[in-house]
Amino acid sequence: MRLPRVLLIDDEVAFSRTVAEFLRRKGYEADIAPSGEEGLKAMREKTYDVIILDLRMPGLSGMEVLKEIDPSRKLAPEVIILTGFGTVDSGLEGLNYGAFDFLAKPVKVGVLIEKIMAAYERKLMKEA
Amino acid sequence: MSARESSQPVRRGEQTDPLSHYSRLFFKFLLFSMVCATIPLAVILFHLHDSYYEYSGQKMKTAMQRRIEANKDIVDDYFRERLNELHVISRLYSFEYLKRQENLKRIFDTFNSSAINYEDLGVINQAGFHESYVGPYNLWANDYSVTFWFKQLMAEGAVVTDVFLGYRMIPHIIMAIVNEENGTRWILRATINSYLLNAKLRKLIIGEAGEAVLLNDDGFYQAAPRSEAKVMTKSGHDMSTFAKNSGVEIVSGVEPGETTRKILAYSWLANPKWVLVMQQDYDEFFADRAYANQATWTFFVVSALSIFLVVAVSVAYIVTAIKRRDSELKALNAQLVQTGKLAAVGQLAAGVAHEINNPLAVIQSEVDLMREFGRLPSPGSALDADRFFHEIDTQIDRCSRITRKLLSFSRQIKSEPQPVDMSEKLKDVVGLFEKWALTGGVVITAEADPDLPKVHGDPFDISQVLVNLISNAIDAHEGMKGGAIRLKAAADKKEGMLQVTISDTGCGISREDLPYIFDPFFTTKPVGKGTGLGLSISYSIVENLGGKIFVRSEPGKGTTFTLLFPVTHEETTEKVTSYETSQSSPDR
Ligand SMILES: Nc1ncnc2c1ncn2[C@@H]1O[C@H](COP(=O)(O)OP(=O)(O)O)[C@@H](O)[C@H]1O
Ligand SMILES: [Mg+2]
Repeated sequence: MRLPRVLLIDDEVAFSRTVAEFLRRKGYEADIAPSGEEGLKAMREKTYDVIILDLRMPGLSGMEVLKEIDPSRKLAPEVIILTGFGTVDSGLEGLNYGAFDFLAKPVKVGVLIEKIMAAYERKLMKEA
Repeated sequence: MSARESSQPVRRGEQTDPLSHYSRLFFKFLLFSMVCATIPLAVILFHLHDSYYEYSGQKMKTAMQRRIEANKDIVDDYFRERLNELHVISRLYSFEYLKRQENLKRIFDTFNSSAINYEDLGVINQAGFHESYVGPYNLWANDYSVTFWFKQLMAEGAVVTDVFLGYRMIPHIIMAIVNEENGTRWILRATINSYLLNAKLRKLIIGEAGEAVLLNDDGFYQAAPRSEAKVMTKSGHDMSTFAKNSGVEIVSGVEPGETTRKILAYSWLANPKWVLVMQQDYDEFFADRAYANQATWTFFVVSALSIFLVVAVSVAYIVTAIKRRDSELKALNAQLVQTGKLAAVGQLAAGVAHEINNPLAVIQSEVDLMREFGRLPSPGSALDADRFFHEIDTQIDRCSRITRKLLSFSRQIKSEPQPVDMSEKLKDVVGLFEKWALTGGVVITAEADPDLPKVHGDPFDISQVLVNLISNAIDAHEGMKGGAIRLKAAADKKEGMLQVTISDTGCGISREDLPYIFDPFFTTKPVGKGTGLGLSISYSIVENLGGKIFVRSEPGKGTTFTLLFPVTHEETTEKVTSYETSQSSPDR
């Protein structure tokens, strides 16, 4: 099975850079985008399987990016929400808009990878 | 602009002693009610009293006039009767008959039998000499044609004289009539001495208060039963007082040492031309009225006293109720203040959580990376340990910065009023929100004029106000792409105040909401997010510092809150908290 292509959209670049490096070292294809706008641009240039999305960002907020992605579409990537201040409300809202799961920072990269794989599996099932 | 009801409970360090405040309130109420209650009472009483005075005075005067007229009639009748008797004698008996001494004596005795009316009785011929005479004096040699009354008698046919001494040198009056018989004229003459007159008058006025006298038209006493010696002396009365037939007059006579008022009732007799005068002391005469006067005063004082008692009791009750309500309000407010503090801390929570979780997430990922790959011999791509440690340091620094700020904020919860440097305060509070706001696309800037005067106040209170206003401003950008919040501190030289403005580019406040935003528990935010306490608490804090808070808002464009703080002239520096100075934290 091909490893999923992952895009990390987060204004906390120090974080996404480190996670991306971890993923790459594990053999994943991982890119980062420092804002919602950059993330959408990257998605237009390349197809991703899983998006790690921060909710609070300057400019486009994570929720808006999520709506734009609309993971319920057949070929859309799966979205995992990851944010610095985790309230159940915003998590539930994200799930309503089709996010695969919701994680609060700080998160162990191992846990994150498990979630990425689970999301990728769902994406594959959706495509099949 | 939105103003606020003034009933803001005082929070701490009350300037006014509450006891004196309430007793002042008590006395104010009491005075006001007393004035309101007693003035109408006094007006009514005065009016009643006045009309009673007028009425009773009039009535007493009328009664007195009736009495004097009745008495005058008696005196008149007395003289008329005497004259009548003389006429009867002269009609019944002839001159010839009366010339005989023994006949005259019999008649004299008859007329004096029931009461002594006459001093003497005489028959005088045309020439003026006695033909016969009954009486105690020897008057045979006297020529009456030269007396002062003779001519008048001849002209008018009858005469009653004033009191005079005459030949006998004893005060008396003469009553005489002229008769004509067969061409010869003769005179029947009787005398009434002063003693008899006084006795008569004394009998008349028995039971009357005051003094009754008879005066002739020149003001000479004719009779004065209480002091007979006065007879034939001139009285002190101004005769022009007795201008009418009868009347009652009030005269003030100046007696040595004091001015006395007298009531004079008078009535003129028909014949002789005398006036009957009764004189009474004014105060004695109006004793009833004086009594009424006293009764009125007593009534007024008693009423005023009972009004006072009732008013005092009810005012005391009201003031106690106000006091109780105030203290309940104060207790409620104290509770509100506590809740407000918690709310202010809560408002920080989201930002703080964000600001700590993010660096923690970076650290976590770095550590995971190092653990997974750092020990692996992977040539060419060996992990740079220096970079790793540097990144960890940076993130720890971030965390400690935010916790330091948070601590400096929470340490102030129990702080004391002191001079506060507003530009530093702005920097501190903005620091707590800056990053968090920025991740929401909102840029916060703070600027302060150099050499700002200090504000005297509780540093935590002031922080709380800023936290409330800034977090409201951040909330106002909810659902927007981004925006700006500008804080500005400047000295308002004109007002002698320090002005802080907090302007945002958020949603603004609708016209309908504007009047309520300072009310406790007014919120437009969803449950769990808004408490409605921020502005209410901020308002009372600023008011308590003697400052003002204004708001100007344009829906859709943004909102500006303006704070005015009174400045302090104390040159003491703000107590430096140890946390803010210990930059090198021990955990590094
Ligand atoms: N800067 C602002 N922009 C828009 N609305 C505001 C602003 N500040 C306050 N408000 C309005 O005033 C209300 C009361 O504010 P507040 O007393 O702080 O309570 P809360 O923030 O908990 O709702 C808010 O719910 C909001 O509707
Ligand atoms: Mg608020």
